[in-house]
Amino acid sequence: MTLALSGIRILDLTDAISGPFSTMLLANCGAEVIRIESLRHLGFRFGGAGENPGFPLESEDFDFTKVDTSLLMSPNFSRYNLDKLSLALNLTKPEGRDLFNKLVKLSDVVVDNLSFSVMKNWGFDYDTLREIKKDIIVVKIPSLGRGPHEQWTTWGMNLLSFTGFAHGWGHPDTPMEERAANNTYGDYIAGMKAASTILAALYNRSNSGEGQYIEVAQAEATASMLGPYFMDYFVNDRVSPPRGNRHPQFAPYNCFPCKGDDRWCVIAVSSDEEWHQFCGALGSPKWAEDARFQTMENRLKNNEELEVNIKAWTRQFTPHQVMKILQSAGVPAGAVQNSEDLYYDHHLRNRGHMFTLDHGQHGEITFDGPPVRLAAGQKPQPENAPRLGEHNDYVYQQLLGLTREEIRQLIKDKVIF
Amino acid sequence: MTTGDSAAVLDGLKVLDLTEERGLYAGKMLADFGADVIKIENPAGSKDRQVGPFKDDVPGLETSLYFISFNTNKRGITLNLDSQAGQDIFKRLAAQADIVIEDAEVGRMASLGLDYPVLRKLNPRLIMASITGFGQTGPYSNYKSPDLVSFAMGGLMNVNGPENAPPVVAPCEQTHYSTAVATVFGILTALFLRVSTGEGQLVDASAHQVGAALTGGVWGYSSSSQIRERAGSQFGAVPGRIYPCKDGYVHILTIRPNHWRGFLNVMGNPEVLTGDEWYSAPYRNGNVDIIDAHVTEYTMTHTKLEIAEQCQANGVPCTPVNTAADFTRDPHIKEREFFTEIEHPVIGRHSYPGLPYQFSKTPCSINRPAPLLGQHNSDVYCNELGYTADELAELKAAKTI
Repeated sequence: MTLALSGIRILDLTDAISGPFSTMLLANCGAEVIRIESLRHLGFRFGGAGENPGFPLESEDFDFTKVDTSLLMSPNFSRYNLDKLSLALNLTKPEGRDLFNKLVKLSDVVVDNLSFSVMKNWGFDYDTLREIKKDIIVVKIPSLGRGPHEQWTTWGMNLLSFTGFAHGWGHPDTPMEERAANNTYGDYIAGMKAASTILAALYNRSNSGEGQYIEVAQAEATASMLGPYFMDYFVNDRVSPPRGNRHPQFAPYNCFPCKGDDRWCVIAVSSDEEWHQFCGALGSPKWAEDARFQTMENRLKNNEELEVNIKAWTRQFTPHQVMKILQSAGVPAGAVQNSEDLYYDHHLRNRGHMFTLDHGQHGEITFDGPPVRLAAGQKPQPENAPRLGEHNDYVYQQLLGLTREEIRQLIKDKVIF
Repeated sequence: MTTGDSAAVLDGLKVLDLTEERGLYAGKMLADFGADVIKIENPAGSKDRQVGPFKDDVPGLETSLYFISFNTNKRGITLNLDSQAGQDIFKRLAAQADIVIEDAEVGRMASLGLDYPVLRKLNPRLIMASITGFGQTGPYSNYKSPDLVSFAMGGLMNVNGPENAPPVVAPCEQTHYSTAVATVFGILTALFLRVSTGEGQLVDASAHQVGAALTGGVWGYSSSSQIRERAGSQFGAVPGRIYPCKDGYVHILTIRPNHWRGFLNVMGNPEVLTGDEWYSAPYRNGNVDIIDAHVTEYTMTHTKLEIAEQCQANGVPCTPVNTAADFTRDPHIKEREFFTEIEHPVIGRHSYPGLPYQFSKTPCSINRPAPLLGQHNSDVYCNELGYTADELAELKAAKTI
């Protein structure tokens, strides 16, 4: 199968989530993505397992003599670096930067989320890199981009708060401190948008022959997902409070408790027709015939009483039972799936969307596939993330043509790790 | 669409956009990248015109801020795809298009005789994206999936919300937009592949798959056997949440040891917290009350901008917590001119969230407000497809457009 990006080489100077996620999407479509890694900033290679991994010591506190760094590969790192190559290279040394520049000559795209000043000091800014490779595409995915806060360090959770997401993400009575701002949704969005800008620029280059510089600020990539929220402010001069799960025009429309500990389902009835289907699915209970529940307007008005009755019904079933009963009758409903449910997800598994990789000391780990699966142009099954420096030989010998003697000297000089 | 002298990055690409809900943002992204995106609505207007908020809370065909927000940079025509004549016209348009995007329920395009196998025969280079809740195949493919259902099934809902309250959905319809963003990635990959193969393909996008990818639940559970619980805004080591301050709220994180070291500096190195044991995340998390007392003593006597600046100067990831209004007034956002003013013939001149992509050679911007219903009918039907004014009137009389 022809992979969409075969023959495209990308140098990846990113860490955390948004940058690595963007280049992983491209690697999955056949781009040769070479992570340029340092022993000083191992970033996500550290850390444990799970959705909320710990991040132990900083690398400057780390005693490298006691650990085989090539084994440092947390599941959290793998998750965002499948299908890539790893090159261990010390960019703080001038000889390291010379090697990087030689690679630029052989590459199509350079992606980074390092600070502006580091990239400039190293001579890796666009104006300098295009002198080396005229049609290079240089992509930066900074937190906030150039401007008064350009030196700010932020994690994805900060940007939910900064952009207005956190303000709008809660139940109507949730205090600001407890609103949802502890996920990395914005990182993924910025990563996917950045990947699309790279594809668009490559497509453009295939016609024009020209490269360019691209900046996708994570804060703006995230804020632009709140179009109607901002328009409501600009046009109606209103800052909408958090809406919660209920809908202003429809009822019943909410999250309901199910059988089990912390188990929930959602039901989203958006027409009178669906209401009748809903009542039928419940076996046409007496309470549902109450005049207070017969029209959308009345159900909205008497929502509290309506929901009391529905809760009594949903509590008898598991989330997936509620979904099956209601969806079979044409009513929009779903299980509030936790990560265990997702792991066993009947639909994703049926679509062949899960794959398992041997992950060395972390055992076998199952991943779900990329957000969009293509019929052509994409690898059918991803390959494991690289060990630190796993592709040194390929890059230094085959791509750059260094002799064994030269490589030995560079290792001695701490240019190559 | 061009900006000044330089064409935008996807200039010259032709897109037919049939989306009304989940795919709206995909058409917008392609239009923002400079493609010529024609939004095709049924003659009564597409569903997104009925979605609030509305200008002055008055529903109307041309007052939906939802519609206006997601259809900038697109042209708009009307076409009744339920009629034979409408289907024939659509086929003429599709024969010349690069991309078709649709987000109807599974089977709808086939029932119109406009599904990918049919269109592919007319135009083998065509890339078609079908965007649904669960994808075109699989046991749930016929399930109804509004945003709330997709959000629940994708896994992001269960982990979001206060500790002792039900899970809660994100603001606006995030599963619609995130699925659209992922779809654009699929479309552009297919487009780049087409450069070498000359062939298009069907992109089968599923909100459920996108949700799972953005939650990380499969990998998270597989590697840890743990189910994450809701924790409000708290992430990682304490302090790692939203805290109240003198004039609002700030979001402070101390994920890594250097963050904690920096935050100790910010708080003036309170003696009780300076021992080595406090560098351990589990230790800090077991002493929340002691830490929170010191954090709030500091935050309540400083403004959010003071706190953010002091934290940042010490390497601590910290930002103010903004409302929509606060965000638009942030000096950084203002200086970057992220918000763009444009004139709309019905709602007037207003600011819109701008584009988060800066291209040095192929700059893009919002140049065109969302189309009025049928605004570009004569543009497209007469100037581009060659219908005469009389024929256009006949199509109108027959309710084809």
